[in-house]
Amino acid sequence: MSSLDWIVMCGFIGFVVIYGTWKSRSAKDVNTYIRAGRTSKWWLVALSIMATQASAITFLSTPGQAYVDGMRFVQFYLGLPIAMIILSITAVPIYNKLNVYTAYEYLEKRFDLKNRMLGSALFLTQRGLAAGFTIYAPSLILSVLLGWEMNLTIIIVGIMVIIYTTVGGTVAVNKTHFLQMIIITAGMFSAFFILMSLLPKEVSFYDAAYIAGKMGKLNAIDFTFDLSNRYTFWSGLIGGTFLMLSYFGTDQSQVQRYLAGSSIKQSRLALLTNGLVKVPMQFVILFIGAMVFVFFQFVTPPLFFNPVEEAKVKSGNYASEYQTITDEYSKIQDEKQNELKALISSIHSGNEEDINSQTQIVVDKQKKADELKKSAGEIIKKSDPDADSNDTNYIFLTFIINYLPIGFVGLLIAAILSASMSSTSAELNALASTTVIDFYKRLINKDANDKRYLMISKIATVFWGLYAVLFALLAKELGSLIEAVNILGSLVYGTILGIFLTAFYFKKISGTPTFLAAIFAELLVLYCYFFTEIPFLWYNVIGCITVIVGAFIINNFTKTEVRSF
Amino acid sequence: MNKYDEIKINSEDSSPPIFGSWNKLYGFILFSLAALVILFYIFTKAFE
Repeated sequence: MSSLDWIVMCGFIGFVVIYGTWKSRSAKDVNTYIRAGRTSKWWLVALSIMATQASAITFLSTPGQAYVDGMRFVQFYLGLPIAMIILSITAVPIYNKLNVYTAYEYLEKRFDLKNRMLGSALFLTQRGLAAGFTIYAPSLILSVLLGWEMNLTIIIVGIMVIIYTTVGGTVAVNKTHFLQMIIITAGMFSAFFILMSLLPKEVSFYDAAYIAGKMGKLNAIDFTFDLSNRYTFWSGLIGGTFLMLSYFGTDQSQVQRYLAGSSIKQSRLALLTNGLVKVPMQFVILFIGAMVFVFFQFVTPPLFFNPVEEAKVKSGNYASEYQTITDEYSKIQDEKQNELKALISSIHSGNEEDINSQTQIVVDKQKKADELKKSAGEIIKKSDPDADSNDTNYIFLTFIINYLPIGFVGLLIAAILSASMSSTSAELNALASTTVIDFYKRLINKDANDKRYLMISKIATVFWGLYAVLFALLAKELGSLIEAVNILGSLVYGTILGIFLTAFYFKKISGTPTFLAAIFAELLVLYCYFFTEIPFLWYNVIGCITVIVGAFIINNFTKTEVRSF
Repeated sequence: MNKYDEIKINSEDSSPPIFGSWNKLYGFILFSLAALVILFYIFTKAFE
């Protein structure tokens, strides 16, 4: 990175941290620290909700996803607007009127202590590990592509987040989210416009879309009902609704964002804004990935985007085999570029026959290039069985570092670090709130004064921050645990959602049947994970429905007191 | 009337800044989603 890039990046990140710390230093009570005093406007809460969900890996891996697999990932978000409506009707008024600090407090009011403890324990387990991963993943990618010292990156990012989150709590998280979203949006739009300007002069926007479409990268919607296909309209709409309901309705890192709204109206408007904006936003990010793919049709990309893994295979026993594939790949890319020029000429001349025949030639060349890329991944894996043979996360950053003008590289790296910090701060904030409200205040010290709870909240924030940093530092050694963290969310979200939906909608069902059904549902989801091929999005549906149906059945066989909440 | 019913009633007392009622705003969000799906489908087919 150039000096200007360093100045831009440090300037943006430094300003966010100092601004967040300074503007929120007046948080002097628990209500302000955990719920921003319930004074936030809808637009601030909406930006905070979006910034919490958008981690760095979202911005690094989503364009790469479109590059490799096309835009069908956008269907993953189709259930989000529906979930926002359901939560606006159900969860927002209940949480607001009950004046809760955490989502799990409601479970005790509605059911009993054991349901509250189960909900909060599942959250702390899942989110605690995820917080470490949120810092680790971008640090790994930045260290591989920019040569940064990974542990130092983790520690610096971690400490910056701990400082402002500990000082200002939710106020700091919300205020920094606002700035971070501005940086992220500016970064992504800059990347898009520069990308379009970098395409060859004779390639118009339509030509670029035509090429991407013919190569299968603009496959945004797929209506086929196929349980083995991870991203279809149906899995996104049904599975996605359940997942988003669970994430936004029961995960404290999101619930805490809209609990800060000054009224039911402000919280609802924030959720609905997210419902309106999120799908088009993901579409744009994926479209950028498809355009990066088009860009690399005219500029030969590396055979494998992770330079560390590539260097390892080049110095190992399979070096000559890998070199042969690399040479063949370069040859195919050169041939394809010539055919693409001919295709563009055909499009401009409007000769349908030429367009179709030329398109077929280009598509065939691309298939050959894809096969070579797949072979390269297999050789990397053969050379080192522990190697990461998936380079999706490295594609977009490779483009940023090598092809963006000086200054914009710094802006984009600032955007990626902002995304990492925004998610982490919300996670630490929520983990601390749950620890203090659901465990310390409920089980250890019920009658302490506000000052004490505030102090414990700050200590809990530092604790979870250090825990996340420590996990991120150890993550490399833990290896397969990272994969486990990735799917852990879907393993527990369905069950938690089932508990909450039973609480919201089935007023005659009491605590013990719900608790027993939740334990059974969790075991069933684990069975599906270990012994079936069902895609992970469906775990949310299975877990949720099992809790509701199970609780209903058990409830009919038992006579227990039912509370209004 | 229990607390749950009370909450449901109280939550309706403040209307959104646009469309006049929450139900109409929810309808608009659903309509937008349907419109996006149709647009994405046309987009997919146009460049397939």
